[in-house]
Parts: sequence; C-alpha cells; structure tokens
Amino acid sequence: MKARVRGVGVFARGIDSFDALRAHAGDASDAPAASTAKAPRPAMVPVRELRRLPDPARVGIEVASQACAMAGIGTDAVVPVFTSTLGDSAITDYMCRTLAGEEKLLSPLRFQNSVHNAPAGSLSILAGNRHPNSFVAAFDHGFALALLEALVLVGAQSAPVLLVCTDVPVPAPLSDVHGQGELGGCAMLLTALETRVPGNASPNARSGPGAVTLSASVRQSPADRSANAGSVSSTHRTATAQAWPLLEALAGDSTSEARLPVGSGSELLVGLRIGRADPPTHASRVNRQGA
Amino acid sequence: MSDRTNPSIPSEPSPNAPVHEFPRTAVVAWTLASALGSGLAAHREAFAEQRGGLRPNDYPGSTLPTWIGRVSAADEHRLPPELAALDSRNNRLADHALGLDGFGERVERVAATLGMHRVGVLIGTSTASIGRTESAYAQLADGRIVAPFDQPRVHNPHSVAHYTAARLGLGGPCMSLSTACSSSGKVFAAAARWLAAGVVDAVVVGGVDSLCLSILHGFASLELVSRRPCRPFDASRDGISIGEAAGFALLQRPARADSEVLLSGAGETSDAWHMAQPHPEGRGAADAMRRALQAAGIAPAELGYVNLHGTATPANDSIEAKALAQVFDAPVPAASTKGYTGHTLGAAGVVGAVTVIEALLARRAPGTLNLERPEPGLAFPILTQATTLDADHAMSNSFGFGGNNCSLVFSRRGVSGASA
Repeated sequence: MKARVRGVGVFARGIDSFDALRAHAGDASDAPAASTAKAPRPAMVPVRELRRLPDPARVGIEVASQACAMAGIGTDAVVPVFTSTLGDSAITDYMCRTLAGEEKLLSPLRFQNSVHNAPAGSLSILAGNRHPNSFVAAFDHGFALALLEALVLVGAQSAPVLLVCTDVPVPAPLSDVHGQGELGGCAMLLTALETRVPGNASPNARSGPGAVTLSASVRQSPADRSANAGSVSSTHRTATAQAWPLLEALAGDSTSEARLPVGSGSELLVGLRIGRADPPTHASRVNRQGA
Repeated sequence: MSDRTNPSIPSEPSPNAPVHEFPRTAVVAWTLASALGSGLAAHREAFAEQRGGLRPNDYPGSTLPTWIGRVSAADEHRLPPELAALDSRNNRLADHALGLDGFGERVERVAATLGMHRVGVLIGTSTASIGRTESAYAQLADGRIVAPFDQPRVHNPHSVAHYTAARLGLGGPCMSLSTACSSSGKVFAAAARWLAAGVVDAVVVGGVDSLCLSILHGFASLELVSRRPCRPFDASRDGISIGEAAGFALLQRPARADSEVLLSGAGETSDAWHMAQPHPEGRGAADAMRRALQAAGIAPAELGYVNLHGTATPANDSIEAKALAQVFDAPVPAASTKGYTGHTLGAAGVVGAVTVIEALLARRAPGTLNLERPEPGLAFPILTQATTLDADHAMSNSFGFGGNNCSLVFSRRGVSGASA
C-alpha cells in the first residue's frame, strides 16, 4: 500500500500547526512538554456553533482544516477516517456520574454527542461533506489501525483520504484506570501517488507536503498475549502520541521507518520516503497474495 | 458552510475517476444471538412463528417504562478463566455468541490453515462495554474506581474487538468501527476492502452492543423511546425499543472459500445534515442504497428483499420510506425486524445482515412485527407478513447518528451478477 502525504495538521503539546512543528524540528531541542492547551477555535466553525461543539470535535476539525488547507482541498472533498483512543472522556464521565444517581436525567445534546463518531459527524455537517466517514477505535493501536484503514481506502476509491486523530484529557475517576491523557490531535491528507493536487508543491519537489511517499504493509510479529490480562502496565497513549514519531519525521523531511502493532501477532511496517522515489518494500510482496 | 477551495477535486466522484469495482466477498459462516434467542435456528423459528423477543424493561438499575430486547443467556454467561479479567456484559454477550452454530470452531479451523496472523478482526460497536463503566461509577470507593473494575482494556470502545481476537486466538489486525447504529454494517464493507488489498486472508466481522443505562436513558432524553413494543412504520409508532445482540460472520475472498452467499455490494454515505436526525428527504439513505446496488451490479428490480433500518421513530420510518421511493420505481418487499429484536444499535447492522443471508438461503424473508395499521401516506409499501423470497439478491440498511449510512447487498452465489 502506498500513498502520497499531501497535507498535515497538528494541534498538540503546545504546537498549533505543521509549520510550528517544522520550526521545532529545526531547533533540535527536547520534545515540548505536554500542554494544557485549551481546545482550538477552528475558523470553519461559526461562533454560535462553537460553544455547543465538544472539545474532540474542535480538535479534530482544527487539524482536518489545517491538512486540507495545506493541500488546497476542500474539507467537503475528502473521505474522513477518524480515530480516538477513548473518545470524549468528559461526556463519558458526565453520563456515568448522572446514571449513578437516582434521577438519571441526561442532557439530550450531551447524549447525542456521546457517540464515538460525533467528531466525524460534526465535520461532515459543518463542511457539507457527504462522503462516507469512518471512526476507528483500537485503544493503544488506534493510530496504526486508522492509518491502515486510510491506506486501504486510498486504494479502494478515488477521493483523497483524511486521517484524523483527536483526544481529550481524562477526568477522575476514569483517570484512575487510564491516566490523565492530554488534549491533542493530528491529521494527514493522503492520496494515491498519481493524484494531482494543485495546492501542493510540484510532485518533483524534494521536500514538503506532496513530496512524501508513505508505504506500508502488514506483516507477522511475535505473538503478544500479555494484552489479555485485565490491567496494562503503562497508561494509554493518545492517538496523536502514537503518531508523533511519524509527524516528527514528516516535519524533519527525514526518511523514516516505523513498526506499529495492529494486532496481537501483526504489525504495520510504515516507511516514509522523501521525493518521488518509491523503493520496493515488504508491501509489494505481501499484497500480491491478495491481488 | 463549505470551505471548498479546489474545484478540481469534486465532492462527488467524477465520471472520469478510476473505476473501483466492489470486491465481492464470500460469507463463509455466521451466527447471531438476540432477544429472539441464541443461534440461527432460534431466529428461524421466531420469524416463522411471528414471535417477538421484547419484554417489559427489567434491566437492573432502570425503571424506565419501556420494552427491551434482552438476551437472557448473557445474564448467566461467564468468560473462560484466562480471560476473566476482561469481564463485562458486552464481552459475555460476545463470548456467548461465539459459541453458537459452530462459529468459533469454524474460525479456528480456518485460522489453523491460513495462520493466526492472516485472520483479522473487525467489530462494529456503539456502546461497547460502557455498561461496565457505569457499574464502576456506581461502586466507587472514596471516589475511586477499584477492583474488579480496574480494567483499562474494558473501559474503552475497542473492548469487544479486543476480546474477540483474544478469545479466538487471532493475531491479525484487530479494529473496531464505531459509527453509532451503522457500525456493524460498515464492518462488512471495510473487511471486503481489507481482503481485496491483501491485508489479511480472512476476517471475523461482527457487531456487539449490550443493554446499558446510557442508551436506555439517553434515548429517553431525546424522547425517542416507546412505552410499548416498538411498531415500525405503524401509524401509532412513537419510538424505539432498545435491544442487545451479538452477531458474527467469517469473510474470505471468494476464490478460496466454500460459501453459498456473497457480499456483493456496499454503499456508504453521510447525510451532512444533523447529528441525531436523518436528512428530511432521506438523501443520504437513498444514496447509500443506490451505491450498494451499483456496486453489486444489479438493477433495483433484481432485489428481492430489503431489511430496513426501520427503528419505529416517527422520523426515521417516514424518511426511510421516502428514500426507498427514490430508489425503487416499483415496490420490492421491504420490512423492519426491529419489532422482533428491538433496535440493537451498534449490532443492528449485523442483525440485518444475518437476517438477509438467512432469508436468501431459506428463500423466505420475515415481515414487520407489530405493524398493524401502516402510516397513511407512507411513501413506500412495507411488508407486514413473511414472504417468499424468489430473487437472488437482498439488501440490509443501517443508519446512525452523525448521519452515517450503510446499505449492504448480499447475493446467492453462482447467480448472474454475483459470480466470483
């Protein structure tokens, strides 16, 4: 599976754009501290809608807008694939607290926003996007599965595919189980290699969005059965934290390889290549089995 | 509010776009547990006898005056000791269903041949194990979540897909799709793409959603819950009956699989309209049905049956009928089985899919339970009684919050338009 990275959006860890991430990558200092940033105010959301829009949607729409703007593609013209490790933990906490009481009277607005796919629904409504959207959940493998799903969709239909990660902090007592999490999101706009995208630099460019080829394949990994136990040793990571090494590689224009678990006995081998060259990867060998 | 900036990338596929044929996919095995009972035979009998599974709400902790579709077997079921740390009602319901109709054994045989890492898991769920999180909150100690509720792999939306993979010993990619009530329709389409792309050689798809307070009282807050058994498309309908279900199917590429049924088409769309209400003209629903027919390569008239979303809310049913009228020039037998099972939310897609698959093979399709007096002026006729299904193609609709729509077409294998 191969795709061209056409746009990137970032809102996490005190970094509010891909340009800011590039600047940070250039100064070679340590990773920025986890931020307590407030949710963004995406320009495409009318002010009267903003107050009603939960934070996961605000984060997701912000990074989605950034990635689409970079490529010069409308947010209505993409197939969105969202993921979030835990969804809207603030609403989960509100619902469970309310339901533990006698009255059990829930806010209709908060209930309708409690579905995991609410941020994708909000984007489609605000952008007028009638393409199908998906919302992936895979806990600590969420980014990898959403990336896999996005790459499969790049090969299965014609529209650009927008991968969006969005997470928010986890309140107590859920944080007893999951850790505190953090507010953050990122997006990558992916197309087939041959798709022409006017907003990008020439496909022959040596750096920047549009000049990056992402290839990936699923392969066997040593079986990991430790996950069957009830507790996990480390707290969960947000989808953006899972994506961070690839984001940094994109920002640094560096060729990079990552191995991301997608199941208890399989992993996604991801390669980033700068420029047009598409060296063979494990992908071609594995994919031939199913062609 | 569109911020389209690039006219060269259309928001609808252009006529010149590369043609991507839908990858026809073999449905090799399937099973279902719902309020109608455990396993396929129980569902056949209930449909034949027109016996519904709804009962007055007796879900622990809820006094909401409504009827529910409860799977009693999930009450008593226990997880195997090695997976007991993943305990939740939702995982119990999944575990119960995996043991029915020889499904789990069939998967294990296929996985032994293909390799555990070549079999993927793709489960649709809306609420997953949120019922367990509700219990954790009801039993806090000094404001903290304590044992036995200290379960990070249970208190998250991926819990039941993770459980399914662990239970079946599968090592391939394991993913949940959570798009509310279309979730377990969309897993069929996603699995077909995985198989076509060579990501895996077989996929266990399914949908599992169990009763919980969030859904009972959430839908009550929207005033969408009926006090009586739900009555899809009836003039007196006034809301849904909430149910629970677990269903699974094993999908493979058709060239290598022995099966009588194919997933031959899927159509997925977004309304881009409202978070909790369908587009008033059924725009997204009609587009999903058209795309599914187009993907299957069949004309609307070739379809023998549509299992409708048909939730029995006033809005859904009249709008779904409008959408049907836009797609089908002549009536096709179309029915909702929500009066039998209740609306099983994230599992509704797989309940519809299994109902359609069984109907194709038995050449008999269920009607709409509790539909006594169809709403006057409904845009499309709705089947009340079970009917003979002579055609070789049938459709299942599932639509969800967020304006998320999915239609699937299943076909008897070997017939025109559905060969591998």
